[in-house]
Amino acid sequence: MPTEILSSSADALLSARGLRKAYVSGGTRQLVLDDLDLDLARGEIVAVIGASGSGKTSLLNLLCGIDSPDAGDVVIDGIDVHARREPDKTLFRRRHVGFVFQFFNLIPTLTVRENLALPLELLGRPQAEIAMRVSGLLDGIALAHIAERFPDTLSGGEQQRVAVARALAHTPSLLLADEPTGNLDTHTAGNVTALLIDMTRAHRAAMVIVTHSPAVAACADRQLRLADGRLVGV
Amino acid sequence: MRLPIPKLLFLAGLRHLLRQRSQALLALTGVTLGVAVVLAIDLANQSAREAFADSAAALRGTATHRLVGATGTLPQQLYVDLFRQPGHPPMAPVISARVVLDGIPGRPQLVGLDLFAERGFRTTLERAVDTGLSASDWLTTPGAVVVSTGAAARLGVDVGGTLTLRRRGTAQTLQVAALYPDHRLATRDLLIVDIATAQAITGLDGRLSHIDLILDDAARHWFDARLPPGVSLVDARREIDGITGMSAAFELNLTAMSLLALLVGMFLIFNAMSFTVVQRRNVLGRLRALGVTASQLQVQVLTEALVLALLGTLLGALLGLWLGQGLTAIVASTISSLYYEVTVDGVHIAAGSLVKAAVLGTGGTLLAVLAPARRAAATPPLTTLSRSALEASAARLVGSTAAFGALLATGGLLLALRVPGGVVLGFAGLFALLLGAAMATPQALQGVRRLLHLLPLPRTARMAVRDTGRHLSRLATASAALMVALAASLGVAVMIDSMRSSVDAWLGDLLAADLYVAARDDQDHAPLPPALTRLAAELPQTAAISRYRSVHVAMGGRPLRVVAAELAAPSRRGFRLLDDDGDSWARFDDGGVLVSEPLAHRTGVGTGGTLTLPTPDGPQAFRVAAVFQDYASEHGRVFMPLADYRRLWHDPDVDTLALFARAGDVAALHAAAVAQLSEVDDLIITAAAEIRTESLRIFDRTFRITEVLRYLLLLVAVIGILSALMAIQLDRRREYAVLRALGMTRAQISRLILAQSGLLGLVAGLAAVPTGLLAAWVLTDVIQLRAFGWSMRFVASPGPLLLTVMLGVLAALAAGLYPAWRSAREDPAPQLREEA
Repeated sequence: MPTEILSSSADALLSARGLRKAYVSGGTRQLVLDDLDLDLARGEIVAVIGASGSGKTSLLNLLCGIDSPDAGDVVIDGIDVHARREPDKTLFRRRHVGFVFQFFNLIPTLTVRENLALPLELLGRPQAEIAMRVSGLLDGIALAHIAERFPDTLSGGEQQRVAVARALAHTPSLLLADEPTGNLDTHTAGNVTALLIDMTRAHRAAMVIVTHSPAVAACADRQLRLADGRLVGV
Repeated sequence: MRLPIPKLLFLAGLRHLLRQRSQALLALTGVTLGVAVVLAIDLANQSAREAFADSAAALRGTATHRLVGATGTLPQQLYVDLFRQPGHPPMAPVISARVVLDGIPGRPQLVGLDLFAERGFRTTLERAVDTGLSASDWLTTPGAVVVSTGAAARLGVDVGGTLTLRRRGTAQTLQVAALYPDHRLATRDLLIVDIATAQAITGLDGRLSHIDLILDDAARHWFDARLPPGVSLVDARREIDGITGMSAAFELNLTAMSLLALLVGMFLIFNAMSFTVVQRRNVLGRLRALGVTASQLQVQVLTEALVLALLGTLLGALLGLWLGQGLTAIVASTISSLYYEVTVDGVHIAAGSLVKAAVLGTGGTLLAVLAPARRAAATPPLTTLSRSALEASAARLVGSTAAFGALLATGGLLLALRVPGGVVLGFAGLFALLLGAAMATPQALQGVRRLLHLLPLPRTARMAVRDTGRHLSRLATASAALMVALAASLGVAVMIDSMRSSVDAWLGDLLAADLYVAARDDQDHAPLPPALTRLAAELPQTAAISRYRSVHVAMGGRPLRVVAAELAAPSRRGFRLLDDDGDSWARFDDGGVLVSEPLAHRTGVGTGGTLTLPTPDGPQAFRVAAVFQDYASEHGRVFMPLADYRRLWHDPDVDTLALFARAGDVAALHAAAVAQLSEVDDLIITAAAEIRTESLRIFDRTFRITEVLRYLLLLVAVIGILSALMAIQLDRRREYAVLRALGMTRAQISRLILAQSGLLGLVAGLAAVPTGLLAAWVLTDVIQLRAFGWSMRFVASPGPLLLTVMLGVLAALAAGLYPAWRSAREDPAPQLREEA
């Protein structure tokens, strides 16, 4: 087992062991992840790179419990994610995980402010606390002036900044980012990456960031390559 | 108010509905129309019933019971005899009859009361005295009448004014002696006169309609052994319930039709909400990823539907109140011609009807949305399901849904046809049949689509056929909704056709004579002068004559018409005797009776059985000589030999003559009858053909309400198709933009949408034909028989069948016009720029 992919930190947040996942498509079985291991320390940022179709997104989905592995387990904050039933996995994501996606995935019928408030409201936080937290986040991403606008009126960069803030709104211990700059121009991608890294560090969250961009990967604490269903150090 | 889901989730869903305004509006229209039709019918039924109960209660006053005669009247001497006996309870004699006034529409109720017996019963005359009526004038002025202030306004008279009542060609003048203050609708139809005046006007000399009584439990037994045969004591309040209950089956029929409209409306809701779930699958997936639970998504969709349901119910209630105004008049007119005379002056808004409509509207909507809500809950986090994958999964369900639908339809059919029970069970079977057939419609759509694939169609048509498969999940529901509406409409049309054809044939047989002679009188079946019968028989142009005397008796709380007849041979041939063994007429001549099919069905007494009828001499048992087919009344008719009637009823009169022309010369007979018989009395001399035409006109009027409901049903279904096509148009904007960019013209895009729409209509129309015929079978063979006792021959002419298919295609094409126009004129550029 290549030691580079295992965190040496004693303060471990995530531990994935022996993850295996295959998909059947057009009658053919395709093994995407094969006995994959990953450790992540609290506050650590890991970049995962790899070719298209190498299983990067599948890995993220398995880490947070959106998808189930054929074999293996994932333990986050001492919780065995896949030992839980579906409703509990949902509650686990609600409390512990934040997402940033390539296509922003904001809720189109909620304003910027409401999008930021949604994760907190789902956790049942008091309205006063939500309002204060959202104001802080809006200031943090410098978008307070467009707080009442709907996502479809924002630029791609603005939407992704909102998505970053939303992912961290409920102070998750783990952030999963799937090609967060894949849909942005180079300049905007740089800004969003900086914001993502800064805010993640400010919130002391750990992050697994899947990317094709060497520039984005370079900002991470560690870089791993997904190939042949396994992670190897870069 | 605390929401069952986070406020922002609710807000996000609500805003989605607002963004998809056209979809939401069409779904809203589905609920609104469904609720409106149900409410309007309920209000119309309720209004007619309440109006009758109110006017009957106003007339009843504080009377608890009533003495009534088996023949519809009582001898006045009975009242005198009872009154003379010590310890008698409070009693008031009453004459009640419908009359016709010159220049006044409808038939107001003439009520004869005895001023001195009224105390404690009704305050009408007391209040008239308070407003200036002199008791001596009242008793001595011929034709003095008292009316309420409400009636005076309706009749356009004041104190001192006159009303002209025409009877037997002679005008009789009523003079308004006083008004009593009462503006209630219930009193606007009442003309109160002294009892002697009423007897003179109605010809009921020495007789009473009934005697009102105020009885407690002890006093009820006072009449034991004091009442002569043929007189019975009835509960006055129950009598009203009994009369209004007569129209229950008719009302149930209308209610079932209105529920069908709601069922189609529910399809619209199902369709619209299914679409919003599919359309939002990515957003729902994002929400799941953010930690929204499956049950929260389910509640979110149900909450959105609830908002639509509440709004639709509110709008439906308003529309229903408006629609109810129009339908009340039609329903009241039908009830007046078939059951009991009722005057309505608007819609009676009953809280119960509103609550029922609200429960049906919201409950029906939520029920319709359960499946889409469950589908929303099943959305995986960050779903990556493509539309084609969704459609593939929908297509996989088509077969199993159709199999379940076929089972449901078969079960419904068996339930209706094979399981003995009431009308409600019949309707339950009918609903199951329609629902099952609706579930099988997507399979029919698939079948037709595959069949069309094999044909060498133009390219646009081929694209339309292929696209239908790609959008099956929504198109199938719309097609099913249209199919249900068309099938229900066809079922009712075939049922009406079958009934009309049966009635027409029955009239043709029954009206065997050439001319019918009756007295021109505002009272039904007024006696003819005895000399007239002799004169008619002696006319050289008369080949044969039948004589009739008709009276009403009460049996099992329902009015029953006893027709005493002396029948010429051709008249006998006009009867359709069921299970005739050839000896029926011999048994009739031997003192037996002919019983109409509805009566036989209701009482269970058939040929060879015994029927007990109330007569002035007390109950008499009659042997049933035969059962005959009869559509004259659902309550029943009994024919008996005239001689037996005269012996038992002590009534020598006849009221109708049927004349047969010698050598078929009807014109000569008619001329002779008019010239010679009309000298004796004011007569109505009518040719059989005229009666037949008039009867069919009344029949058509009776079913006008059903026709209105059929059109409303179709309207709801057309909105269903429109809703589905709009949904697809929204979903495919980008696809159309690509087609436009590739060089497809606006006209070609329009044709594509219209071809698809036409295909839906064609499938719905084709599927509606067998379903509608099965529905018609249930309606004619089960519902009509159980509700009214009418058996009828099943007539399915090709006209309505072809019309159903055409209507399906035309309705769908009409619904496709707007989406076709809108899609064709949309600028493709913004769509091509948008994110896929």
